[in-house]
Amino acid sequence: MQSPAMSMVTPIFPIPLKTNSSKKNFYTTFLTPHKLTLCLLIELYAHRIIQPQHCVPFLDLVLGYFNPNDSQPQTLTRIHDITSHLPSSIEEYSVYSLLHERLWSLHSFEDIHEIFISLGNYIEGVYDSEEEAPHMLFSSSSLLSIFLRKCVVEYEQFSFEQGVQFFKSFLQYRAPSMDFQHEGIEFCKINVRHELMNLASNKTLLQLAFGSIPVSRSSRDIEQLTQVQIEHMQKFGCALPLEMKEKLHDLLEVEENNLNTSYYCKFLNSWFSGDYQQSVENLCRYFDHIMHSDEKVSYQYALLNLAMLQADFGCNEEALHAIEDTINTARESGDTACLNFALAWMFEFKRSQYSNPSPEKNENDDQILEHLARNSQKAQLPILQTTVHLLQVQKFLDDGSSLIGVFSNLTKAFALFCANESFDGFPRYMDLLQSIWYRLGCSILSMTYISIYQKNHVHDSPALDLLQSLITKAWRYAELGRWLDVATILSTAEVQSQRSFQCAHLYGREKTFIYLSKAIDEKNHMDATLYLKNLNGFRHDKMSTFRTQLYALRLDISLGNLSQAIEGIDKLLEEPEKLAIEWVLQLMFLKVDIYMRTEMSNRAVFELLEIIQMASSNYLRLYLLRGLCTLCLIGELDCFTAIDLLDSLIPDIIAADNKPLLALAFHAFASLQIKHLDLLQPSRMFVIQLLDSAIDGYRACYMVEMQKTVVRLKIQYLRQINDPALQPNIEQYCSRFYSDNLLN
Amino acid sequence: MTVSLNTMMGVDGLEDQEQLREIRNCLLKCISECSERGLVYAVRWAAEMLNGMNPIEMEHIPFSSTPTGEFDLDPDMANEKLLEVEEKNIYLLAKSYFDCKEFERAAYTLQNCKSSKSIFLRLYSKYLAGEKKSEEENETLLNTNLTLSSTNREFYYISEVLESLHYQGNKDPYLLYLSGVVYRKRKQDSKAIDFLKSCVLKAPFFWSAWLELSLSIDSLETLTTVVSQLPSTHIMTKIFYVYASHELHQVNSSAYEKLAEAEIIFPNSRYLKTQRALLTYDSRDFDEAESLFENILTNDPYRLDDMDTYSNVLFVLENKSKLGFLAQVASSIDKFRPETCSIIGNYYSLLSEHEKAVTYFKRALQLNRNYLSAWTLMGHEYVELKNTHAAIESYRLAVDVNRKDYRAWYGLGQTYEVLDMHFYALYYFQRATALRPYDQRMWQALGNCYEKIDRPQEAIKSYKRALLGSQTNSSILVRLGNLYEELQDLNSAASMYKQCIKTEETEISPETIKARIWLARWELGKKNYREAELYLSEVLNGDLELEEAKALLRELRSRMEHSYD
Repeated sequence: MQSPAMSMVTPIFPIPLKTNSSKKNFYTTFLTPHKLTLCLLIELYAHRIIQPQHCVPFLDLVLGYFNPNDSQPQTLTRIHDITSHLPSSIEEYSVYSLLHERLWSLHSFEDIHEIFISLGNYIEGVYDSEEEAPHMLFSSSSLLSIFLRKCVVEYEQFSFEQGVQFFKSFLQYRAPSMDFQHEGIEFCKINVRHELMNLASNKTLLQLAFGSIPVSRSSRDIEQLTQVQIEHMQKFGCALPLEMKEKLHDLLEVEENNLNTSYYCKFLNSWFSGDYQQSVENLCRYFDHIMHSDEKVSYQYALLNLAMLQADFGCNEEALHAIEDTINTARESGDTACLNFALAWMFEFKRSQYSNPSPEKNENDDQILEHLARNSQKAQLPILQTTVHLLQVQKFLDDGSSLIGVFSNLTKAFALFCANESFDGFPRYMDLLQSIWYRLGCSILSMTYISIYQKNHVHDSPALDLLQSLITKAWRYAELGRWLDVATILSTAEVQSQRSFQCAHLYGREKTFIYLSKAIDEKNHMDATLYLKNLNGFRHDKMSTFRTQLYALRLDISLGNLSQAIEGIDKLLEEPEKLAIEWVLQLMFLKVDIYMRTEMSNRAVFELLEIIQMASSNYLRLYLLRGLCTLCLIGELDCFTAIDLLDSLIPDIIAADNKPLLALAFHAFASLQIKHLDLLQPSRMFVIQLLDSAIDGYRACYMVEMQKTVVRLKIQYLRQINDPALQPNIEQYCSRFYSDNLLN
Repeated sequence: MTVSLNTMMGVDGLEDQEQLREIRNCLLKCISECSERGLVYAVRWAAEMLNGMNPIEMEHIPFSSTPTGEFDLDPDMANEKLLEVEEKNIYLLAKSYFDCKEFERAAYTLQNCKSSKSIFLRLYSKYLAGEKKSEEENETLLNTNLTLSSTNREFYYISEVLESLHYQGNKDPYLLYLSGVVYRKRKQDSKAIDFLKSCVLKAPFFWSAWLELSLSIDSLETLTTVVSQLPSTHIMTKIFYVYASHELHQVNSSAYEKLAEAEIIFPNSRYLKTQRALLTYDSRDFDEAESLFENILTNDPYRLDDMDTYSNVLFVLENKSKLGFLAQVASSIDKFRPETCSIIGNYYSLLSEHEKAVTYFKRALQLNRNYLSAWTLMGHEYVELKNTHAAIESYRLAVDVNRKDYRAWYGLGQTYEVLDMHFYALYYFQRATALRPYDQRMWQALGNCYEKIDRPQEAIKSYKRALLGSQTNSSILVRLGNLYEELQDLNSAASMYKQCIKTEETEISPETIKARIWLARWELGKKNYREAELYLSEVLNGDLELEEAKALLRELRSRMEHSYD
């Protein structure tokens, strides 16, 4: 140890570091100048210069290197900030000032060499003098010893060139701690010994010896940072936040580091930014490197990633091949965890491909699920276990076979989340929960679950799940006619949508759907056509493709192209195995609409009866209510039966919290009252209120067609009872709908 | 080359500008001829020397409007020129292949050419191709630690062609040089010397020929003989003498004188400056050598030639900082030069990182198997690592590369001494003493060896030889005293011990204390009590052997008392 009085170097901080992005990087495995400085701090500690009561911040600094999640900046400024306030055992000297003296006592490569040679002396068992050690000796298994050993071992493996590079990067590292801003030759002169001044006075020689000072980087640190990035990207399913990306850009993208993980990181980055070409390229590189380094353990995971990538890009066949390869490789290498995840993924993927699978396929899927349920429990994989439970929920819902099965699996999944304190599949769970309650006609509960999820899991949810939840909320608000809230939610979703390419597409697509739906309802055909065209610019999955077709059909109906629409509907219904039950019901409602417009009541009733049967057997309560209300509206039922039916439905309809449905119910009720005016003799006030409520409901949802129908019904009613309010209502109708053709 | 060595004058005659200009012209011509023949190192040397001369004064250059030289050629030369013109296109093509290091292709292209220049390039290409192949084969040999070395398979063909050319009366200096090279490589040194002598007489500024000549000379006697057959006043003979003396590690005043004469003509020559530094290193004046090398490095920062010797100097001076700086500089200039590896090896050796040092010396040898000093230095490192067998192998290979390296012979002797094989060691020390007859260390080691094998007479002779012409060494004198004592020649022993005391400077050394105690006992035996007391009192002023001195003093006192009684 050099005496502090030997040199009088004044520490100055902070001096802004001149960042030079073109600086050459020098890669080591673990050792960096920062870690050398930590070694010097350990040296001070061993000499009892750091007082015991002030050891904690210093020890925290060292321990940071054993914690993979602690990625603190490796700068002298950070050490300065921590140690400049720590008093040393030498009066008037802080720990930092002693460290500073020590740092500036190193002038050449051999000084650094001597430090590393001497570091072993602080470890018990390595210290080989017979005399009592003049300093502390660390137990060979202590973290400090491990840290020192790691540094020394790597230093000893350095070639001369590496040693010199390391020394130069050390000069660069310590430079900002001095009160000078010298560049080039002047900088070099400060760093050479006095005895070298004659040689160093030659600029060429100095440039040769000290030119091109590199920045030292430890590949283990880089790997750790890459791992943090990968974890972030995998957890949130999106690209890195811009700020984080910018900070790591120099380190991970500009420089050519050939770590396997960096290729994986690049693969994820390209994937989430929608550059599929590059992502496949990087994934293949990752494959090549892990094959080269014989890390076959990772091979099946690379295949799994490929399958996901291909599925995301829409190459479904290739995705299936890749996942089959994954399953085979995982089986060969005995990686049950990967095997089970691959099976779960394949199940989910197939489900999304074939919405209404054939009985044979169903049987096969059942077997897979059974196998997974058994294995996940045996293999003690809680994440897989919850996934399997959620898959089973989905399966019960698709089959419509057992509501008990749905809730029992949901409860099991929740119990597993709580027991393992791992909430990896929680977004999926919450999504299923809200969709089940929505399906069961309890929109309020559904909205509550959405709100709970959004309130509590914004920061730890995958970007796509969070966005999906926001979009669902926007749809719900649209159903309530709360268009201002829809706009607010969409603006929040827009921020989320920038996190990945997939998110951007989902957001764009769903937003277009929302406004397309509104435009069709408003009979704003120009906008609707435009929105429909815009949908071509987004990526589509099976469901969104169907929805696009559905909206095209709705537009056709709205435009009066009824025969074209009915043809389209029939064509879609020809392949029911490709359609989910919900989709079939929606198509059938369109058919009903057409039949109602063409006054083919019998056909409409026939369709409605089928709808009602299907909806009730599949727990699609909203569809059921809508079907029943429409049935009442058509007026083919007995008057009192219809009234009783509507009466009994109203509480459920109110609970469903669905404006168009409520308006439909009022509409149907009013229609029945007016139709059977003589028989029922309702009060004027009652009928008008029913009609106004229906109009308000339709108006909130911008359903112009239905508004017109109800207003016309109202006028008809007023005319029927010779009400003085008839004329103002007619005028109101004409002014609102720019039409005087009341009779049509 | 038209200017023969005999026409060149001595230093005194060269003082005028006319002769300087002639040297300049010869150098320029040499550069041009060697460039045409792909002799790059000769070109580099000549260019360095050319730039080492003072600039010529323009007013002394005679003006002539008519070109000279081209028209007054002898018939042979004219014929040669005619052939060269005819073959120019093919020659240019072959030269381009040669420059691209496609030696076989170059040789093949020139197979039908008749001019001496083309023949030289063809044979030289063949020679280089053969060397390349044997190097490639040796690479594997180095890894397997075999000492066999593959020889150039083209020698037979080259020598056959050259012999037939000489028989036809072709006296082209470059072809003579090639003959010299081939004979030297075939270990026929005397023949090689003859050819190379003829070559340098015809082309005195062709440095590669001088280098080969130096490599063919294995002793000072041969050097003297060869030099006597060359014009002694010629500047190149002097430069050669300086170089060969250094190579033979036989530095004497004559070498310095000749160097000084050369420096008059080439006052700025970096080569001569380096030679001076090397001579200073050989004469073990390390401080002076260090300063000279530092000066050379500062003036020519990208120079790596001979910087390994500078690193040796810094190693001996234990100047870690400078050696580290030099290693850093060398490494950034070219880390794949044997010199760089040797410098780094020396640096690691100084840091006591002997294993790393060995790695770098091995790397140097991979780059150049014939890089002598690396073999020797690697041997030293193995000695430090106590790996005597590897050390012996390294030294042996060093000796095989160059039998004039006394350090390798000395190292072999020392290693066998460590293994207690003194008869073996004796042979190697004898070789070392033959190469360094004025080096005290060699003779001392030889004497020690004789002592170990109980040959005191020879040991005495060796020790006495060690003292010849060197600084008096007290430990040698004590050893001599011991040996004389063993031989019961006490008077001689006493004389040695007395001489030993005389060498003493300020502080009393253990050797002189030993000498004093012996002398006190001897004087006591001879009843010279006063002298004995004087010796003992001197011992008692020091810190060593006090008990023995006190005991002797007590004995002395009692004897003195008895004698008074």
